[in-house]
Amino acid sequence: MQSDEMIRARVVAGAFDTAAEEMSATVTRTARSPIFNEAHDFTTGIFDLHEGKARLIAQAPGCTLHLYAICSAVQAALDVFKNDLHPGDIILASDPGHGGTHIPDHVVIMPVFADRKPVFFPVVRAHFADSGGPVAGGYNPAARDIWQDGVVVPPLKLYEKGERRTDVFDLILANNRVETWLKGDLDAMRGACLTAARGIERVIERFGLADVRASIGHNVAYTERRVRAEIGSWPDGDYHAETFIDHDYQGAHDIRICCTARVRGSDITFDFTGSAPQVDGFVNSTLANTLSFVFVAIASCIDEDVPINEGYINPVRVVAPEGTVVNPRWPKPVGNCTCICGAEIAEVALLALSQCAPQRVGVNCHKLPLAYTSGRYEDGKPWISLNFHGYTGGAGAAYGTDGWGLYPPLMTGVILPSIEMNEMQYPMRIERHEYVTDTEGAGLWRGAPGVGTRIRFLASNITNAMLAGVRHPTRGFCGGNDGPPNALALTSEGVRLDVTEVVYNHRLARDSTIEFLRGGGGGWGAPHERPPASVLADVSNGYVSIAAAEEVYGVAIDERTLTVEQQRTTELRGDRRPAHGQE
Amino acid sequence: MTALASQILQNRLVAICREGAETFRRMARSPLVMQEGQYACAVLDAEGRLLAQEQGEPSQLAAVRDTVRRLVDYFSFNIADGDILLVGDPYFGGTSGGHLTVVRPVQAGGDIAFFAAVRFAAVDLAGDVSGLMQPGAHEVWQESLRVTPVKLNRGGNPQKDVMRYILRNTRAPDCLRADLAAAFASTGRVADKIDAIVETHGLEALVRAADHGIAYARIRAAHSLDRMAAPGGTGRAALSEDGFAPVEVAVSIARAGQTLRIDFSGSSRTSEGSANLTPSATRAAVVTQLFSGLLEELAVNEGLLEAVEIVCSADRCVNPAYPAAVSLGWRLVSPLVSAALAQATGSDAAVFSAAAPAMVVFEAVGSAAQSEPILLSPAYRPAEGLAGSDPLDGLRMLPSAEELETAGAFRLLARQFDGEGNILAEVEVAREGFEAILPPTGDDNRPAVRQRRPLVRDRSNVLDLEAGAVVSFSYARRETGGSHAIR
Repeated sequence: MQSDEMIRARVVAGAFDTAAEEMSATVTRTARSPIFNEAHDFTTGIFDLHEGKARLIAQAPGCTLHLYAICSAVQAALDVFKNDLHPGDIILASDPGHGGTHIPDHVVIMPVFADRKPVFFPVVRAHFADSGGPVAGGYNPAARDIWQDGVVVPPLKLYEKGERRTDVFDLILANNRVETWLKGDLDAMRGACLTAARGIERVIERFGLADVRASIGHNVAYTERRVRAEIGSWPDGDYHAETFIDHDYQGAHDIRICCTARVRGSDITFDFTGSAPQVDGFVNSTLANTLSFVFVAIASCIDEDVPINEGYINPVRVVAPEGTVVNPRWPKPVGNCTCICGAEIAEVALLALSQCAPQRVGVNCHKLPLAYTSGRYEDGKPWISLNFHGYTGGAGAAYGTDGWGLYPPLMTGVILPSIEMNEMQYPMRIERHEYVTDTEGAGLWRGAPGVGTRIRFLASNITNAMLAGVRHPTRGFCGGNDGPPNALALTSEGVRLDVTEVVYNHRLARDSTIEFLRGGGGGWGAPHERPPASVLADVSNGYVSIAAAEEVYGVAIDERTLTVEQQRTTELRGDRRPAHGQE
Repeated sequence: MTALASQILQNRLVAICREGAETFRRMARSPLVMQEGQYACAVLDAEGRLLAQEQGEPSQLAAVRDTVRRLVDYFSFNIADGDILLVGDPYFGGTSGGHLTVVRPVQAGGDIAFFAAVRFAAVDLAGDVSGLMQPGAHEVWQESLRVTPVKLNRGGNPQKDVMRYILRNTRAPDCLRADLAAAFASTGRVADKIDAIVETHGLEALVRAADHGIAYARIRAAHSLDRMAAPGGTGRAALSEDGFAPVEVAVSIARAGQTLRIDFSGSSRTSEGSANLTPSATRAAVVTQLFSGLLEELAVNEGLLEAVEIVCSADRCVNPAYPAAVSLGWRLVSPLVSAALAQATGSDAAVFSAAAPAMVVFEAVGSAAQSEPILLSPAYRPAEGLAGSDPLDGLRMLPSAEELETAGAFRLLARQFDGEGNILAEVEVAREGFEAILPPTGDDNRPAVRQRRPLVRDRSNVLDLEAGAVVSFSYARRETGGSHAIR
């Protein structure tokens, strides 16, 4: 490639990245739902048409678990409208049977035309606060078919040739409990696409379509080269791992997910053959969701400076047999798939990779203690809270780093809503939100400590609670300990209910509370390899107790002086030799 | 135009509706249409006045008119020849979720002059439980997809994405697709017939004939009210089935000129469950109760529907507050309306009695990509002096043993009178894989199920039937004061 081509390719890539980031800012600043404007549970990206297929060319930092799902959803929508696209069209879709994941995650797509042909597609994928159906909030733990998950939205034009299809728009709003939020959110998503379209048109005007396309080709090829270089550095072989889902909330327990990572040169295949058959409950994962979580796993193993585009995906192949929990047949429910079993899919992929690329894996954790609450404001308008604060924390460790606070990478881009805003927007008070001592997965690098959260409700409400990560908590890597289990309890009118698995449409009175314990992340490497000074710092910070420092890490600490007792520590650690070269 | 000619044209409109309804019934696939009579066909004018209607059962009486009127308002200045409109929302003139109205504008004299409409019950439109009855629902989204007004055809162009959306949100897409196609065809046939009349007799003559028909119905209804109404009468009726928060219908009546003013404001508040009757369904129950004698001989039109003035404050079980669930309203609350009105008017009997026992049976949830729930009720409540079924059932047909057994799902073990005028029936479930619900009847007369394994599975809100399960239905004889079969 000529140097001027290379420079132009970088300028074009930057322009598209900027356009995607502008989309993201537009959604944040104009959406109505707190899930959008506070929690940022959305992702923006730009696609082009390449050899008749949608190709991801730019993406703004957003909710990681939307990353690949956005690709299959866009392709499914373009398949439907491939001969019926016009300038000003806006397409909405959320169909688990056609490129979707779970129903709350909707995509909005807009074609951008050049030379009278649709060539680019700005896309927003976002989690709607509600999606109709039997349970407010879109997570129905009693679901046994897709219609009990919510209302399915196959690709549908909300705007045609720039004109709003009012009847279709109203139809979508009518099937949502928070239509005022949704109306604002849909407008925000369209506004983001229009913003991107202007940016894209500027790039085309400046460089010409042919050169822009050539630059995109260079950029995609660059990403692919970088990803292939990483995979190529891993030894060829078949690496097998398995993990388990706690339950499907319908009576099935210990549901197996297994994966063989086959590394062949710079190609890798993730083969899920042998995973459990599809289950009755809503933890099945659509194929798009399975691809998405594999992508999340592999993305966490690649250098962060590699631009995210289709080149990332090209070296990766996924085999997910139909009729299994990782690729169920219609109409099995999938409502919880972006949590469970997405968490297990990423976990098992990382466990497989830990055998060939141990220094690349870690930071795993997405098994959440979920509780969704809905009610009505004093004026009768509905509210739905996903109670994001209860899910924070729990990032696992990776080679060279302890797990960090807030959300783990699977939810990178999702921002913890401010407590003040939350308390203004919902009738609630967040009374506790803090690390809990001795709730980390120990290791040479330890997981982030668990987080305890207590939310008190100032109004009666209905809550659905779903516990995960108890029978099979978050796994550690390369000798690191697993994270401790999650816990969840509801207290209403003085009666405490410890959730063991699920609570369905539970009425909570005014002044009731939900208490979450989000278990900490798993460790990386053996705990006794952790430097005593680091353990001492953990004790000083309240992450680890003196007793656990001694019992788990083999580090004796003088309670009075808060110093490491070297002699005793040496005795405790004995002749265990470090496996990972750290002392 | 002579009165006779006007009468002939008015009868032509009625005949067109009958033909449209019969065309639809014969082409539709849904057993709710074919066997249960849950359909109607109507012609309305450009303002949404009901000119003529044929229906299979009385819950349809006012809903087509109310729906189309709202539809015309919604799409004002945006309805064109070639459009086909669809609506099915309890809070948009409907009765309960899953009841869809297909509307086709008919042009005459260069403008939209009429609407041809077919209304029917889809076998399923998503919701928590297969079928249209949702005993556990407390809000409308749990019951079914809400189909607010939407164009299925725009200027003759099919809106394929909208059709896909509707069909994606049913457990029985093939059945619903066929029913919608039947509704398209039926409304098309009605439109063609109207075109033919207009061409032969002119638009003005047809409009005048329709006006005459409405005025005539109004006069007949007024005469009927003169004979029956006890000014100042009051009545009350409440649900007697356990498990429901108090649902009570209270009514007071008063003459107001030629109309009867019926005030439901004393009724209980919106039910937390699904025992709520929408205004359109309330009007249907009122008209049926008051004019049961006329319904057999008189065409249903605006004159009949507007012969009474219904008053009800907001947030009542007969005028529920959005977004309350409504799917059991017709089944549970319309008999209360009927009974309360019978008391208030000094009538000798309520037209409606408690709903017949029934079971909704469906393939185990999540087990099949397509599943058509079956409304199983193998007999009817007999009544002295009546050979057929309860007036509440309209044109419902008694399923034959052969029909019940054809698909290999059931065996009819018994269906007979018990010597005291009651009908007892027993049906055996022939194979595994079925689940079911038992909708309440209002008088604790749900079917009884005998089987070896537990009937309710852990964490499930439906019954888990086994092969060999025996379901017993008891249809108690109802007392009547000379009821009429009602459509």
